[in-house]
Amino acid sequence: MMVNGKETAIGEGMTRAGLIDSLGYSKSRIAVELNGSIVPRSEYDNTILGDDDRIEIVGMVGRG
Amino acid sequence: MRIVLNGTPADTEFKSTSELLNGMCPGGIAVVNSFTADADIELSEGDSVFILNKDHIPSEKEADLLMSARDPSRIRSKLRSASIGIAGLGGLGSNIAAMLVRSGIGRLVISDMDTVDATNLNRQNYFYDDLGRPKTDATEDLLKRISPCTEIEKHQCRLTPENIPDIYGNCDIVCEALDSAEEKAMFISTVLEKCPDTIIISGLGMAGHGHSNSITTKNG
Repeated sequence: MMVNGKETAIGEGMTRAGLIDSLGYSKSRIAVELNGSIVPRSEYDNTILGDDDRIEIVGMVGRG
Repeated sequence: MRIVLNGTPADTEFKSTSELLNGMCPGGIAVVNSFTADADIELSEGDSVFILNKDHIPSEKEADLLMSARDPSRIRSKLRSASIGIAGLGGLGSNIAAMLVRSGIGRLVISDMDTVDATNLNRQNYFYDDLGRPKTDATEDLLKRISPCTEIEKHQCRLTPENIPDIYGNCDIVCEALDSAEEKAMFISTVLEKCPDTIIISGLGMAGHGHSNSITTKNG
């Protein structure tokens, strides 16, 4: 699947929440887009990702 | 000949800026099609002309027009009809707000939950006599001093997924200028999910030291 614009091999049965964790992101500090649509936080769940999915994960850096 | 004089269509017999100034405002300054007329300029049909009299303090309405004398009219009307949100009034937001009022934005929606303290004064758009005041109040006063013609809507509160759509849902564009990474992520996710017609602008992690020539930019 595509992760942040790069073709990435993920394990069989990888979930949204699992991918976010495995890439080292903290769920409270990211915005996630899956196949062009924003993913509400309540849906960082156990839905299984597939080969055709494209996910964009934007990590935040603090201060404003 | 028909021109647009100080924002209003008008017929004129004057053929040049010197004739116009001599006839209407001796000693004044003319701005023709966004450029100050340093020399005498021949006027053409449809020109946009502003006349500025340095000895006269303009009314609020006149000042509002003159602020945008150097903008092309299509830009002016776009800015004037825009509704822009700013979330957070710290180093980014307090300065963005002032720049947008100077740009002639029609309506600003601002929010912050905090009050001004002395550590803010090195970079945020506040003054010693603002210390202890809510940032929303201090910012509103500053903006009204720059120009009374931008409509300001202020919210002194903590932003939540529940109140963000009510506060910012009607904005064309919202600038995320919050402090912590968690707040930024919550705000961006909420606007993207619940305010589909609002464009969000966010700046992340732009700080540091080094040579400005070594900064590189790329798309995507």
